[in-house]
Amino acid sequence: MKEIITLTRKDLQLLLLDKTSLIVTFALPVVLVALIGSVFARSFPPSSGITSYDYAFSKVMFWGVLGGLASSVASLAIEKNSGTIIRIQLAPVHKFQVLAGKALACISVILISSFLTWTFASLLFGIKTASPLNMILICFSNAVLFAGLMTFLANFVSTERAAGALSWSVAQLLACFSGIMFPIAIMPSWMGHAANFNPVTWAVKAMEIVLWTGGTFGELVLPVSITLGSGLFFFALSVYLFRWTTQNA
Amino acid sequence: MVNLKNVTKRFGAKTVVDDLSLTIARGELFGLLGPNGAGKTTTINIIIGGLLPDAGSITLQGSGSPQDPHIKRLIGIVPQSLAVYESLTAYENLNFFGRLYGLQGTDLTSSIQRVFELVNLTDRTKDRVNTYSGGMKRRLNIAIALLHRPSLLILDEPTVGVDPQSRNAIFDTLKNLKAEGCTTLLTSHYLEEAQQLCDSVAILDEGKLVARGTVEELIALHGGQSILTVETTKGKSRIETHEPVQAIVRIHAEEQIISLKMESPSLEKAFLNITGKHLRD
Repeated sequence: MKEIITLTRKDLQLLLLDKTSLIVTFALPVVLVALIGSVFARSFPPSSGITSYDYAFSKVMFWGVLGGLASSVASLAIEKNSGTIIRIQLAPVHKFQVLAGKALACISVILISSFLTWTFASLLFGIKTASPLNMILICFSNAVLFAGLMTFLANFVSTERAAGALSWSVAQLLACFSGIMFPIAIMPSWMGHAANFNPVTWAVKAMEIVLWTGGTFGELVLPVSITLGSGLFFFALSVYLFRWTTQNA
Repeated sequence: MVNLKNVTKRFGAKTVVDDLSLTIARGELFGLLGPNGAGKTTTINIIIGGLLPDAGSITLQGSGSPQDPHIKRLIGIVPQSLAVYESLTAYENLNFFGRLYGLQGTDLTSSIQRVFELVNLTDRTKDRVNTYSGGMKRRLNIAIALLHRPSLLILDEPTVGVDPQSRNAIFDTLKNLKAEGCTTLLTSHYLEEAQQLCDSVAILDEGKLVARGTVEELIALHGGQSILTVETTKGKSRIETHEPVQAIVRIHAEEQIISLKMESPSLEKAFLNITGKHLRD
């Protein structure tokens, strides 16, 4: 466990020194809540039960999460390119520990981003959360899902540029077909059904349950289980697929 | 310490290491030389367990496999690329890698201090690596590899792009490590470096071992003759000889020498004679 913490701490240290990643992950979601909430201000009359900011927050929060995902995918590509991965490979650590360290750093970043956005959205735009405990639960399950996705995607990139391209492409696709970009209700029915196979759809559903309907823990069990389970599945798959180096002469 | 037996590695149709057999004795400073694409880095990757050979075997410390965690712990690697986190300080880099090796508390602090002294970087420990010169980064690259006191140190082109001062500092570090009994495998583009440092060398060309021996043996066998360019009162002449001192004495007895230039046999010449190409080809 010490090795995992050491690896996590180093990744967090590196992230804190990367101003662009900090802005994308932590500041952008807050700005987007303000912008999107303002754009839709007239579309949510008081009778709808939620405000435009509640709506904006439930979607925009994921953009911070996706920012965290992109920077974490890149971090493994950077390790492979700079040669630090060779040092880590020679150290007495298993590839599971290396990926767990990366995943834990990614989870920490996503949780910090989610909580910051939540705090600012509550203070500035009056976002109401019926159950803070349920909110914490889904923030955690979302973080596990995206950390699992991150370690999985990291297996397919060998450069920082490829990491950026792949992670944002996948993020856009997942966002398109999960209700982050467009409501699932406006999609053709086959697409709506297909979206159920996208784990991010369940993360969005869980967020909507907590923010829009103030749902109970019981209502969250299915979406949270799918989200958490998918994250763990992707992580296990990435441990299986992980190769220390790109083979070259 | 290191024993490669009939190791072959292919990438697709290309054979990068071809039936390579090599032994490196404990405490030896061994040079692996060859032009670009000769298979040096692949050989290193096989030795450290990063690549599995398609054929042949590799054992370290008698019978250990490089995949064995206990054996891996004995190896220190200085990759060709600067394997450091540039946005962290030198101390933070060493602290991270030291902790990965299980070093803690005073053990960790004293190990960090020891390697900073070894590579002569004690005055810049708290500076971010991206403020370092190329030579200082190379020295830090070596320091990280030495943190856990490896008994086999592998350096892949450790002096590429460094200033003479840093190069001398790296040479001193390697000599000190040799005196401490550390086995060292060095690849280099600089033959004079290998000539100055290595007890023995192997020359790889297109994945094959083409020569192996002490530097003196290779020079004697393949380095050719000394070349004397002598200008006397009677004119200028070029003499190739195995006994340059006797030749000079003989000329001096007969004529008045105005100027004299001597090119000794070198590893560079031996390399050229063995492979038919210069190291940088």
